[in-house]
Amino acid sequence: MRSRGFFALMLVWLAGTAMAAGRLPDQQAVRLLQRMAQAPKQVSFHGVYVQQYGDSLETIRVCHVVENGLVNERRDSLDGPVREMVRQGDKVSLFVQGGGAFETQPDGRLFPALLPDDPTFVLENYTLHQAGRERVAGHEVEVYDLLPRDTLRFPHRLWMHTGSGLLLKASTTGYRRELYDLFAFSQLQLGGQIDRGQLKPVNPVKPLNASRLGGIDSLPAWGRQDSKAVPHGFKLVRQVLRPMVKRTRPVLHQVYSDGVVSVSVFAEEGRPNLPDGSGRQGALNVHSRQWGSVHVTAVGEVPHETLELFVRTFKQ
Amino acid sequence: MKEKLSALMDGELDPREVEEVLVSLRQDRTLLQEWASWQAGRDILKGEGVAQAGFVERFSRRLEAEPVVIAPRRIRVLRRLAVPVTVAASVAFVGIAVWQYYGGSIEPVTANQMAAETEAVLHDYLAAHRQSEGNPFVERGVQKAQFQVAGQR
Amino acid sequence: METRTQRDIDQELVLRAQSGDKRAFELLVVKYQRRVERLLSRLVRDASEIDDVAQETFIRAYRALPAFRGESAFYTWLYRIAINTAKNYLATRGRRPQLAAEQQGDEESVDISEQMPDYHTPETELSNRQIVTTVNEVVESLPDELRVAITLRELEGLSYEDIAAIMNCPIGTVRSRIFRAREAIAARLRPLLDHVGTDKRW
Repeated sequence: MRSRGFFALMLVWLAGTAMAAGRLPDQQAVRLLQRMAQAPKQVSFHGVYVQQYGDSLETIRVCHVVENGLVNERRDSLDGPVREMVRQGDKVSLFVQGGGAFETQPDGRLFPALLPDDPTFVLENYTLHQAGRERVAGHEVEVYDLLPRDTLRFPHRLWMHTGSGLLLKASTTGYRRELYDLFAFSQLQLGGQIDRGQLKPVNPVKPLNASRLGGIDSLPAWGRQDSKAVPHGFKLVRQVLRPMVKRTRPVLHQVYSDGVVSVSVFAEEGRPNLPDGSGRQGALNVHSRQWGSVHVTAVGEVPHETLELFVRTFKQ
Repeated sequence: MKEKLSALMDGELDPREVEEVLVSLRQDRTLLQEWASWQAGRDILKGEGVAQAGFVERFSRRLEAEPVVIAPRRIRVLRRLAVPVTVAASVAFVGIAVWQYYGGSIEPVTANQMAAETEAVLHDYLAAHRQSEGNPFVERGVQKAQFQVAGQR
Repeated sequence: METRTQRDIDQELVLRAQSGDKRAFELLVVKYQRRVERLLSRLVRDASEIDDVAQETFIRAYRALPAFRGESAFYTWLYRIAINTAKNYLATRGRRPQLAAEQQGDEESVDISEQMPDYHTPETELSNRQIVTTVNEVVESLPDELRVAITLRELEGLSYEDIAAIMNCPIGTVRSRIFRAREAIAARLRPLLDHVGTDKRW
């Protein structure tokens, strides 16, 4: 009889090959990902979902109504500090218990709208695989694996409602399928009569403007960067100079995307009180390093080594 | 780059070039396959026989799941006596984290507690990242992230 | 010039692996995979078992990396881990090693794996013989300057500087000749290698 350790080992390998099975042709993959991306713009729903990052778990209620192609939505947290978000088309209003600044981004994605409109870039970095059928919150779903083409990013699993194309569950895992992050509906009414009273804010929400920080075209003189060394498959989405607490000078904040996840790279002149090192929570990794007079930190739901590569682009 | 990889196999690269090769290797997995077939060529020439195919691919899948190991810093300090004093001092301030192996389980050990200010800096970055993703429902989670100090590399 | 020992060559990669670079460790895995497999084939019978134990050996080595202080060569250290892993594996299956692994002594000078014939099935024996023949053919067919350079490097273990002196050419030329020879061998080898061992697993 094999020892448990070796048995586990075999399972890993079997999982590895099973993961590689059922790969969909690109054309079909494009259609499916488009369907998942479009569904939140077409389908009304009302439900409760959990959001798990590593060992932190939150429950959020969402009411989402599509009318004349316009999305009206309200979300509020059911545990932890009170937070409420109301959206009418592009207009977003927010209430956060205890205050605190927040800005929205035009490309911000909230579950279940996790995928970009154009999936071609996603498929340059990932392949889509069929992984069976299941039930989520009482609804029939098709399960798909979005597997990275290289080791610069993590695998994802998507549970798509068969009828509407809406994502009812999505996870980020490690290479051994260990769960890092998860979004999942625990209760969901899809379509039908949705109580519009649910869209009315309960707390004094304040309207938010899209990011007040204007993007910059060129890097500050101190922040030399080897942009050719940016890890393969990541595009620069925007870069801003962001004021931060206890800093005399603004911090350069770059946002990169591989179509599914985003990575933030912060660079600043001086030596903030953050040592060289790494941290993680769930799929979220952090990596920091001082290069001479420039301090660089990268944050994102990608493997630690990918962040190291990002930080290295600022090597002075 | 491939020629440098070949020189690395013979130990004929200076440390700066080794660094360069390793960076490329992270971006381009085919370099590992090159390395594997050259290594196989060497083994065969030396009469050592033929290695099992697909070994390193299977191994890499397991390795990805392993936490990053970081050895105690003193090995490096011994090797590089020219480390500037300021670097040594800043490391001493925050302490050194070491992944230690205790018969099957791996636990992070932090020598000193991280200063509150350090934690605040980290929190700012994490919050800014979450904001850039447009998700305001994550504040609590961010605070729980842990930070391991790796020391100067 | 002092010739660089295997220990020096590994040190750069070991140090990088120790500071968290997994890719550096993979290079070491590839480098020592064959030697570890050979060693294990003396202790464990079945080819797929050898593969399991070899994988486990490298994972254990990775986890134990922080404890590697460089007092011995990397392979010597790896060798001990391989023996222990094999012993544990056999113990859990109620078997004893086929060869007393205790008498290691100074592993750098005595490698028991070199004293015993390899374990192979007739089929793998055949395909392996074909691979070895192919490699030798490729080397024979190489232009003189490539063949001499690769032979001096791989079989005699000479440094680039020594080879440059013998061949009366710059060190850079030696580097490029060795590289080109490796590419030529690899080009013929790769299609053959893809089949090795694949039938044993999936």
